[in-house]
Amino acid sequence: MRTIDVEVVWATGMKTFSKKAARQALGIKTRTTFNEDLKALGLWGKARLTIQDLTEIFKLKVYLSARPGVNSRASYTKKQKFPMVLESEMRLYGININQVVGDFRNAIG
Amino acid sequence: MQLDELVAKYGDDLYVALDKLNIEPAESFSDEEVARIDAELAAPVKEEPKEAPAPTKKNGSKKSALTAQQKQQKAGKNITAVSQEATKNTIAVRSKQGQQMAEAGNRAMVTGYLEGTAQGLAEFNQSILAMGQHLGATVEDASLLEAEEIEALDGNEDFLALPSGGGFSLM
Repeated sequence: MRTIDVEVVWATGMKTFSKKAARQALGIKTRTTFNEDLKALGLWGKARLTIQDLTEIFKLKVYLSARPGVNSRASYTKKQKFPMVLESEMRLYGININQVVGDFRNAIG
Repeated sequence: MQLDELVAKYGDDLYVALDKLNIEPAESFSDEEVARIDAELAAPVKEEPKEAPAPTKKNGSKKSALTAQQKQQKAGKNITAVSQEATKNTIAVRSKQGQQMAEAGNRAMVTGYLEGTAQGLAEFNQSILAMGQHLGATVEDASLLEAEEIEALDGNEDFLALPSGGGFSLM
């Protein structure tokens, strides 16, 4: 038996991704890393992920790569309450989070 | 004051202060809000009083007078240095506790310790300290053990019989 990976577009027009397709879109090589990201963001257990979900994972990825070894998933989830402050913090690292997120969303359609 | 300035000034602490003070973040903060954040983050953090170290032996041998920094420095030294520095009065664990110590580690750790590798020393030290806490024993610093005691532990049959990782998961 072979599993075929397909994109599903619901009647609402909302595009969803399988976990594998989402992982590939995000450029995350290992399932372990991806699963940890999902758990940190409370997305663990979802069969399919929306573009909004992918955006959140992408933001986490950007945050972690901004200060490797310092920024953690745990600290990100605490900071999520204050997106404006987080945006400002990212600016401090020279990252325009809105722009990179916009580029990402354009890339995944 | 601008948000960017506050972020640059306080870093991660700003999130804590905003959460605690229930201040809604905006592009700029009023002087009053900044003052509240300043006051919140300037308040000294209450430290829990540290427990006085217990004597290493019931018969009243001397307590270890090493500071935390000295202990860290010692933990990084090789076995020769430990052997030279350890004295009879500062031995943290005696042979009657050997079995308990045996349960705290495994041969690989002792080998690492004897070889004097930094990782071996650190792992062994951590394991002994954890075991001491688990048993309520007064182990202060495994690096205070004399070389002979470590070697005796290495040859201890009960110790060697333990599976890799020891009988406890204390690491």
